[in-house]
Amino acid sequence: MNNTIALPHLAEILAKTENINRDEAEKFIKAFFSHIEDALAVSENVTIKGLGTFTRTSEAEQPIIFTIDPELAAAVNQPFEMFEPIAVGDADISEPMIADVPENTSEPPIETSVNQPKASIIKTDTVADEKQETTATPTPPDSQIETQSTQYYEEYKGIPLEMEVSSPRNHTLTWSILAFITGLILGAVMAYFGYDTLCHLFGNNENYNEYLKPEPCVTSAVESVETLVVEEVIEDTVPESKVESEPTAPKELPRIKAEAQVFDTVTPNRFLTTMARQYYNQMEYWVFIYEANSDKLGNPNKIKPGTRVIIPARSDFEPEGSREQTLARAKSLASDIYSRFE
Amino acid sequence: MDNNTFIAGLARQIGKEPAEVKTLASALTESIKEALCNLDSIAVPGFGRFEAVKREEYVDVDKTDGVTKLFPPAISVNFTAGSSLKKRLSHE
Repeated sequence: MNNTIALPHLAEILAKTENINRDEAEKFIKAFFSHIEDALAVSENVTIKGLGTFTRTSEAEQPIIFTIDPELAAAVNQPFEMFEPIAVGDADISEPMIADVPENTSEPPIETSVNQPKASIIKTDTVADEKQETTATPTPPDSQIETQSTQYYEEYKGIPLEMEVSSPRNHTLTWSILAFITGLILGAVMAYFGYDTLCHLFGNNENYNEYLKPEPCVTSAVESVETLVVEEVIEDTVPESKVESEPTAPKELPRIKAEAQVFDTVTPNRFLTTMARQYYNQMEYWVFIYEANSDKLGNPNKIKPGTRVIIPARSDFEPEGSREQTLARAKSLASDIYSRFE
Repeated sequence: MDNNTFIAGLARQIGKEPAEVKTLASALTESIKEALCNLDSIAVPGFGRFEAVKREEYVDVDKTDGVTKLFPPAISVNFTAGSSLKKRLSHE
């Protein structure tokens, strides 16, 4: 469509149609139009069937007027032959016409069936094109065509334009929602992997996990450890029926308490002195906690938060009735510990 | 000059039978018709150019009855003479 067909291409089409040589076809076309030229030189007009009539004029700018053959005019106007001029009267012609419906809408095209009666063909002429159109005698209006056209027109008018054509605003909203969802997913993934990375940075996953946990309630921890040990010991030594009847036998607890080990964790707000004050009511006893965990603690002033320490039993370092001596020993031990890191 | 005279003269010029020339001429006009139906243009060097031009529907007053009407689209075929043809006819 809207292409220019040159002579070689036209010759090729003719050669295929007539099964002749392409050169022969080109030679014939040249002779054909050359003979029209010769004929116009000696005659006022030349009529070619199926093409039209060439008429000479006296005008230098337009020496020839071409009048299209009615058969050719009907063929090229075949797509519009079912239409006829429609009286619009005093109607507002500024409204969108059916023919103005955008091609990209989803409206179905007007179907033309074989049974559909055809309106009169408007034959156009190259010279008197507009004249013929305006003077064309319209046939009586076809009610079927009019009804169908009106129906499609009403459907077209009834459909909101936003529903038919997706606007850039809708696209923007869709993309915004997609971007938001993508951001949420990425955030969740980064949080998941970032947690692992932080654990690696702190070095000890176990310590860090405990650091992230809320500060353990030491009392309950002790109780749970005691209970656990009690159960283990009882399973080994006492019959099950006895365990159920005497789960917290007063005679067993002291021995068990002596065997139990209490753990605690250093946090930014919980130091060895804090633990010592809590467990022993004596802040200076932190040195005994330190000594019990000296294998994994360095400088007492630079203990990493999250470090898990064993809380030794008081009886391990303080015999009965020797509190003053133990306190003096603790102070001495403290200066000894600090001297290691000077 | 009518079509038969033209075919006879062309047959004489190229040395073929008029019936054969008539067939070829019909095939040529058919090819031109198909091209114009596709809204293509045909350029013949030295002679001119055939061009199909579509006119969209329009509202106008029908001069026969004075009623304002919506006229359907139409395709017309324009011919523009080539410079060689113009030159030759101006000298004749």
